[in-house]
Amino acid sequence: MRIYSVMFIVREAWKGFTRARISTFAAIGIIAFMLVLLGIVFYTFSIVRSTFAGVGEQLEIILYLKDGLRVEDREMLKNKIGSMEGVKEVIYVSKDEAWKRFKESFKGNKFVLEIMGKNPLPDSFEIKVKSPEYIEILSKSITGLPGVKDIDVPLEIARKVNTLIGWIEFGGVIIVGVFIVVSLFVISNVIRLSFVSRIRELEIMQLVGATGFFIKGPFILEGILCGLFGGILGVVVFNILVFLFNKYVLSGFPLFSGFTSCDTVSLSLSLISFGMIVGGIGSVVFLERHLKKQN
Amino acid sequence: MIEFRNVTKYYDNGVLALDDVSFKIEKGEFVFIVGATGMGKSTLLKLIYREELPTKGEVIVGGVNIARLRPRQVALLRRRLGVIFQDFKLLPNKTVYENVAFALEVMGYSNREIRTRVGKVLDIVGLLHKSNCYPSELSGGEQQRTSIARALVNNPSILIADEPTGNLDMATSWEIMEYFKRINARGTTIVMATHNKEIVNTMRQRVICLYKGRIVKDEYNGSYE
Repeated sequence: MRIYSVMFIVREAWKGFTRARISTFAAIGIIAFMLVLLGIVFYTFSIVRSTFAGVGEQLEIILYLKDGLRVEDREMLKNKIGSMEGVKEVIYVSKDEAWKRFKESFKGNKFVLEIMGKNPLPDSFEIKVKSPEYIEILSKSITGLPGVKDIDVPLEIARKVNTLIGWIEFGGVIIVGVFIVVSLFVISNVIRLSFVSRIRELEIMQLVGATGFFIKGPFILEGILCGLFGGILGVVVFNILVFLFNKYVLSGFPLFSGFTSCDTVSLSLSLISFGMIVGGIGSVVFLERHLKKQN
Repeated sequence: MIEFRNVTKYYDNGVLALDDVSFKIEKGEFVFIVGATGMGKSTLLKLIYREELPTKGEVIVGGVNIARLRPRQVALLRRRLGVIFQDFKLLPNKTVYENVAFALEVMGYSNREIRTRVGKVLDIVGLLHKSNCYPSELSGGEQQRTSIARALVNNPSILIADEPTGNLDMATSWEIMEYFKRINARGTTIVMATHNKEIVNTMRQRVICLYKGRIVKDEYNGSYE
C-alpha cells in the first residue's frame, strides 16, 4: 500500500465529512442523541443495581463459637472460613467485646442488664460476604465445622435481595439490549442516508477504474468519523446530565449515595467506540446496497 | 483493439438489446455508432467498458475477453479506457481540477505527478483558468470538456463516448468534435455513439448503424443515412 493511497483515502473521507455539511451534522446529532439515550439507560440500570447490591453487602453471617475453644483452633477456623469463596472479611468479636457492645446499646436500661447478670454472650465471628448470593451456600458449609455452636443467617433478606437483583439484571440486560439494537439500526441508517446523495460518486469511481479499496475506504472512514464526533458530542452531553443528576437529585438521598456507583469513564469510552463501530457498519451497509457488483 | 464475436445481449427484463453482432475496430480508428434511441448503441458501449456482460458471444478488448475479468481486472481495464457521457457524470462537490485528479488519485499516483498531468490535460481542453470552479458554475460545453479531460488524463488507448454532444448546442458540439479529432490524430481509438446526423455526415469516418439490435450498415467514410 503506497502512502499516497492511504493519504488519498484519509483526505477523501475528511473532504466528504466537511463538505456534506447538513447531512453530516444531522447524522452527528442523531448519533449523539441515540448514544445519550443509551448512556442514560445503562447508567440508570447500573445505579439501581449497585444500590441493591450495596444493601446486600451490608448483610453478614454471625457465627457463635463454642465456649473454651483454644486460640489455635479459633484462628484455624477463622482462616478456613476466610478462604471460602465469597467471603470478604471475617472479624473476631470476643465475648468481652460483644458484652461491651451490648451494654453500650442498652445503656440506661438497667432492667435488661440486671436480668442478664454476668456476661452470657459467646465469642463470635462476623462474616462479611462479597455479595448476598453467597450467604445461603456459605451458611451450609459453615454449619458443620468444628467449634461452631450456632450461626445467625439473614437468609430471608438475602434471598429477597438476590431475587430482586436477579430481576433487575434480567430487565436491565433486556432493556439495554433493546436500546443497543435500536441505536444500531438508527445510527447505521442515518449514516447510510447521509450517503445516498453520493451514490453517483460510487458509479463514477467504478467508471474511472477505482478498485474496491479506493471506493470503500473513504466511505467507511467517513462513517467512523461521523460516529466518533457523534460519540464525543453524545458523551459530553451525557456527562453533563450525570453531573447535574448527582448534584441536584442523588445528593438528596445520602443513604444511597454511598452505594451507587457507575464507571462513567469506561461507559463514555464504550459509547464512543460503539458510535464509531456502528458508523462503520452504516457505511458498509450503504456500500453493500449501492455498489454495483463487478463479477 | 476491440472485437465483438456474435454478441447477443438480453437484459434481465427480457429485452433484446443486441442480436448477433460482430465487428472489429482496429487501433487508431474513429467509429460512429448510429441508430435511433433504443436500438442498442449504449448497450454496445457498455459491453466495451464492461458495465454489462454479453448473454452470448464474446467481447474482446485489448486482447482479453471481458467476461473473464475479475473485479480488480475490471478496474484495470477501465483505466485503459476513457469514457464520456451525455450527462457528463462529474462529481458535483468537487472542483474541475479535483474531478480530473480523482481519476489519477484512485490509481495511486503521487501528488506531484497528478499536478503535472492534470495541469497538462486541462490546458489541452482549455479549462486551466476554471480549475477551481465547481461543475454547477460551468456551461454545458465546459462540463463536457472537463469530463473529456478526466477521460484523457491517464492517456487511454480507447475513448468511448456515449452521446457526448446530446446536451450541447451545435456550436459547442463542433468544439467538442475538434477535440476528438485531435485526440484521434494522436493515435487514440475513438468509439462514439450519436444520433447527430450533421456531425456524422461531416466527419466522414467509419459508421456502424444499429437497428433493433442488429448491425444494418458498417462502412468506412460513411454517412448517417
